[in-house]
Amino acid sequence: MHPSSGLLVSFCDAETAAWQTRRIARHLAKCGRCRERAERIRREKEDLLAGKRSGANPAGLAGILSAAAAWREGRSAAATQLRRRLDEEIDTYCGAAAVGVIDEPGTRADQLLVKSCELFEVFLGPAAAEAVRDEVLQDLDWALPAEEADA
Amino acid sequence: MGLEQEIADLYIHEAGGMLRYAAALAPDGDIARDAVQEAFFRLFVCRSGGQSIASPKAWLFRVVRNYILDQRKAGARNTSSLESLLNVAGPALTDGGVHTSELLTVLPRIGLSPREIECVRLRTEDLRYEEIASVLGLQAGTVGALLARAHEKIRNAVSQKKKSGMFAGTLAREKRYAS
Repeated sequence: MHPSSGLLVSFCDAETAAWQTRRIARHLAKCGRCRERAERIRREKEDLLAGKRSGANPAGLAGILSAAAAWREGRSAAATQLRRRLDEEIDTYCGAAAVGVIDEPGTRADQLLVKSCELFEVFLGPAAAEAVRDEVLQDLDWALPAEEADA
Repeated sequence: MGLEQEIADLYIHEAGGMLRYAAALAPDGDIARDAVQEAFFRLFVCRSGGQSIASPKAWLFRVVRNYILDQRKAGARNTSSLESLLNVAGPALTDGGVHTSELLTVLPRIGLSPREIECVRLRTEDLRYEEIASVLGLQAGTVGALLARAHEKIRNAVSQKKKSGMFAGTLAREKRYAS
């Protein structure tokens, strides 16, 4: 039995289950027509990749690492902004009393983010929790100094 | 390995592909670049807070996608569906930061659905089926089916259009297939 086109595409992507991979490989060893089909799929995939090259920008990485350092050292206004937004979301979905329970003294903003997202996942579901996470992280001022967060 | 090193390694390996993907979805190059930066900032914050992320690569691509869709929604409030927001025509960046195959840029014209195009694009960035499924919110089996269907459409379009010169550059490369 010849493998379907879909199965051959998955095979060429190394995405078939181990038993399927073995079965298809055995089949290809003896079926010239399917070997040619698989070869054609590989060539077509190569064409889709033609011209692909890295666009990673070293300046972009430097900016990220610089923002990360500012965050770690408490020099970033983003942490204050994030905490404020998270407290508002906790208040909205879990009530004002929950804010004091979840946002305990000494909890960093990033820890509060993870804690509250776990909470939202339980109460709102994964998709809604992700939407809340995206919302609170949207357009934070990563480069703004901490002292300007309240300005 | 420290978190910063982890982020740097991911950036070196994934930022190029993320930018290509972002450029295909974003209305302009600035939003594409912002999306990639934002994804890495967010990854840093979540990891720094103790979140474990099974596939950081899929997570990053998902954040890029959500970020751009949010930006596009903000800029087109009366657009009715998420699918219709996807500009899958091809890379919007032209400053050398992004380069992609000619064939990828003509996918919308040969009848691929936005979902199929996204699957093909993510696959060309070496995401596994499970990772593509996670980015697009689909089942892995659906990704396999979409890719198989996309492949079939591409093959049919290429063979039908060989003589029409619809994508001349691509077909110049295609000639070797016939030999």
